[in-house]
Amino acid sequence: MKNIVSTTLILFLFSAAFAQDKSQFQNIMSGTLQKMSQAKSADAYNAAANQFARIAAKEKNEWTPQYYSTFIKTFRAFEAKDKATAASELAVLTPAVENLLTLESVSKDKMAQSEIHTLLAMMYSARMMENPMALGAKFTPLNAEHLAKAMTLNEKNPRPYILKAQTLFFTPEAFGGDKAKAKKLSKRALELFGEEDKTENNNFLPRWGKEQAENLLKQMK
Amino acid sequence: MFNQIKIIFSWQAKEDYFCKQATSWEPIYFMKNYLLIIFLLLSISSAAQIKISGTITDKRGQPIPGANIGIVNSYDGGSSNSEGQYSFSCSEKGQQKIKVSMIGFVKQEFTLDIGTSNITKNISLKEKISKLKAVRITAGAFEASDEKQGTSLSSLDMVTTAGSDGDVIGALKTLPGTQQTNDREGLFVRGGLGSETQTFIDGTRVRNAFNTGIPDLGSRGRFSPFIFKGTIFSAGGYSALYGQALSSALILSTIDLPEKSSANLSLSSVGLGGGYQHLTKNKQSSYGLNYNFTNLGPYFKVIPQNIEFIRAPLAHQIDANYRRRTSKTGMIKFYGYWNNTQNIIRRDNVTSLDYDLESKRYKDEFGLTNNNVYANLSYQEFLNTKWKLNVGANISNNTDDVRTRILTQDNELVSDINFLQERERNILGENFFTTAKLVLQHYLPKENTIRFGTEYVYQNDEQAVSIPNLVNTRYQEQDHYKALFTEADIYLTNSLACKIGLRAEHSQRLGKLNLAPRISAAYKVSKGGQFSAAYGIFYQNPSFNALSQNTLTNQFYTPNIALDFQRADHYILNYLYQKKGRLLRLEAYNKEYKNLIKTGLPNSGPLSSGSGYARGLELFYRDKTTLKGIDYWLSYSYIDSKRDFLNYPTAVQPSFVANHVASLVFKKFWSKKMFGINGTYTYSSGRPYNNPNENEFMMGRTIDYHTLGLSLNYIRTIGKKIFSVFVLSINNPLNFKQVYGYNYAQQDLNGDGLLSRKEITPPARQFIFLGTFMSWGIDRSQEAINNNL
Repeated sequence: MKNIVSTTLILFLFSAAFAQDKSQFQNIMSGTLQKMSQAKSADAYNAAANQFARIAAKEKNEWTPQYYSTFIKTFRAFEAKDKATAASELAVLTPAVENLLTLESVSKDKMAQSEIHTLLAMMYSARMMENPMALGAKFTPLNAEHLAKAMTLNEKNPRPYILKAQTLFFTPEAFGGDKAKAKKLSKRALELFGEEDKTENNNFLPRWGKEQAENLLKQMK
Repeated sequence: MFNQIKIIFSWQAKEDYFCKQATSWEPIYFMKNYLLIIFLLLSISSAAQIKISGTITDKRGQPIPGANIGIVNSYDGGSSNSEGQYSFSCSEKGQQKIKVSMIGFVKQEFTLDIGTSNITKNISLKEKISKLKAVRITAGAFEASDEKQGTSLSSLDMVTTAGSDGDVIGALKTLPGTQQTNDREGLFVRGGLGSETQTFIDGTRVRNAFNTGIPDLGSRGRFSPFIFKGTIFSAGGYSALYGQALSSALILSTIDLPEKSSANLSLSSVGLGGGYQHLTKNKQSSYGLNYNFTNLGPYFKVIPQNIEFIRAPLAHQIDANYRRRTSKTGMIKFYGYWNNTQNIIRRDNVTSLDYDLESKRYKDEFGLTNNNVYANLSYQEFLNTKWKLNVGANISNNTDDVRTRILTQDNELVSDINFLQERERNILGENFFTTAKLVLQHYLPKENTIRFGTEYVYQNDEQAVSIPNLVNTRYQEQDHYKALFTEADIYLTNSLACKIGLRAEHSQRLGKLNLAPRISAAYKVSKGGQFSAAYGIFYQNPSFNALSQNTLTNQFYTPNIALDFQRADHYILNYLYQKKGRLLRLEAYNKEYKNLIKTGLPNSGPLSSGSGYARGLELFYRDKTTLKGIDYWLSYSYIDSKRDFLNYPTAVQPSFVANHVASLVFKKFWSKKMFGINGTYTYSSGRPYNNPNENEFMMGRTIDYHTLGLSLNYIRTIGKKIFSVFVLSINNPLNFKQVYGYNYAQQDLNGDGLLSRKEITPPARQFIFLGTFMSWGIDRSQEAINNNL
């Protein structure tokens, strides 16, 4: 009896030890994603971004940690007071994100590629904020190029639609803006978000953007 | 994990021991389970967690928030907060490698021995030297670039400035150090002549950057500002890479590949033009062609001028470009330009003003046909990550066919004995120029750079002067010029940088060699403020025009070769402060001129015995944030300058230097309405002029000069495909009287002991411009706001 108990316990501990290595990644990712969604202060956002960066340094075959680390820095850049420093930081991070496309796991995964191109588009948009007048000519086409790629790789990805809609809505008509098209794109994005909500997400795929789509449509009324 | 299993195994051994000792089986079983459960719980929860904490600061002790600290190859780690404090739990034990990183700082790695007690570790990070953060040497220079940070102006600013009429030079005249010499050709900077300012395109010197000016009517820059992506206006102290400019260097870089193919069309009150730019499908190369036609005739019929335009400026211009990426990091660019301009004017002959009867007075006719061809080739390539190569070459040929005549009011050649020698003159000038330059740049660690290179120029200037039935003179000059230069950019820290250079030049025409040191440095004293200083020696060959003499002989004249390079020594000190969209710049300078050309000396040809000085104080203030939606700048220059050169009897303040010059520029753009208004007001104190009726030389002073330029622009997309800009601009709407100087009579014809004079003024009080620019393909929204042409 005691042997069975001890053996069971030992086996349990062994399997727990090995299982922990795989679920360690799952645990830390879900934990950090939660930290990211709950973050409000600069310190909290930095902590989440840095944690993702540490995970990325360890898990060289995963694309989601680097994605999220840069994603946090990107949307924070839109609100940054010192736009020049934020833009230069994103410039330094751009090659690391582009590199994700060369990962073996990503090169076969169109959904992942779509998300990475969406992130790159968003980064160019953020970098332009440093001086929209002077940098617009350089970064607007890059932003458009990556959004187009993202849409082609995964038609069901709502995120490039909402980013494109935002650009078209906030750019003045004479500079290429188009409010009617923006409305169409936001509606389509919202549809796609609805479909996405019904699917499972086991791999920490990005799910952000629904709120942005809802807010934008509200502004259009 | 395995440590815990080891404990379980050793417990197994103990359990047997207890079993042997115990009389009853149950209590032992219970105790064993209890202890096992405790171990289980301990193994599931994070056992023996050690806390590592501390602060992360920079070398000055300032906290660094958001730094990333963690154990290498582990998830364990933390982030520093806004006070620089960090704290994280570590489940690993023993020797662990810790890594600390933060953008802008050098990464740090160290080992910690993690035992059983918490660890406090404070970290001090060293700032990485980055071009983006490092202090930039600003002494003497204004850089306008779209891409670089910290530049005071952008290339859009250059073109949107009202009063400039789309001429980069016009925009530069609102910056400190420049003079309002709108009656002359070129840019006059810090006490220097227009010829002391040289223009460089993609590294090589341009022989004819300005259209040939008609005396007293000024001229414009030849090249459209839209072909440039960056402009550096250096009023002194510039790099060893540039030479043959005593006062100032205008360093222009042409644009690279366009974003899309496009066609453009322009229509205005002064002409029309169109062009096409094509970007190949693979986005690796582009080519384009533009044609421009200018004719001020119709405009002059509507707006009267105070001089007669027999042929109003009429110009045809074609320019072509080809650009191609030679590799991921290399590009070759070609730009070709051809322009033919004709202009014939008539205005009062000053000497004949002595005649009482207006019908007896004469007119000076000046006719000019200019033909200019210019081609520029440049190649840039990174040989590897540490070496960069820049090669540039250009070739140009310029002919000025000038005919001057003195005519009666009936437009016939005068037969008056007092005017016979001057009554008709033909001057045919031709200058041929070609240059090549090579620069190798080597990147050293910590953003330090060293560059070296060589430059060669061949030029041939000829002038033929003929007075029918009287004189035929030819002048010719040729020079082979070679230069070697080297320069190093040294960043000691992000707050202290310096640039050291040396340039050696040899001119075959002068038969002389020179060595010119150039040194500048910048030191950041506070978050927004920095000091900068520059010193250098600048040499320039005496100009052809200064040497040619009005000898009425039939001899082939060659200039005296016992001459030297003209020389100017610059000393500059500058303070710059920038914060939140506001910029303040103060600069003080001293220039010492030596070996200037003296002419008209008794018993001698020209000599290099002239000298002079220029010293001054300049202020520049720019504010893009205080007034909502308004961008404005203010510049003020004070200069004290005297020179003894050419035929000056003594050292005096020359006619092209006004002691005080100030400009106020403002721009406002309503992005909702796509409408903008730009204005420029400029003041200049009176300019010296020489009154031959007075004994003292150059003691006259003109009235103070005021001018206002206003422009309105409106952007509109026509049918969603065509992007267009409408521009209306007016110069001097307030009708200020502007006098640049005086022309005096050559002789006293009415015997009253005085030489008559005539004011030198612009041909009309106002200049009005109305035009539209349209483009298909790309939305030139960035350039749109700028078309103040």
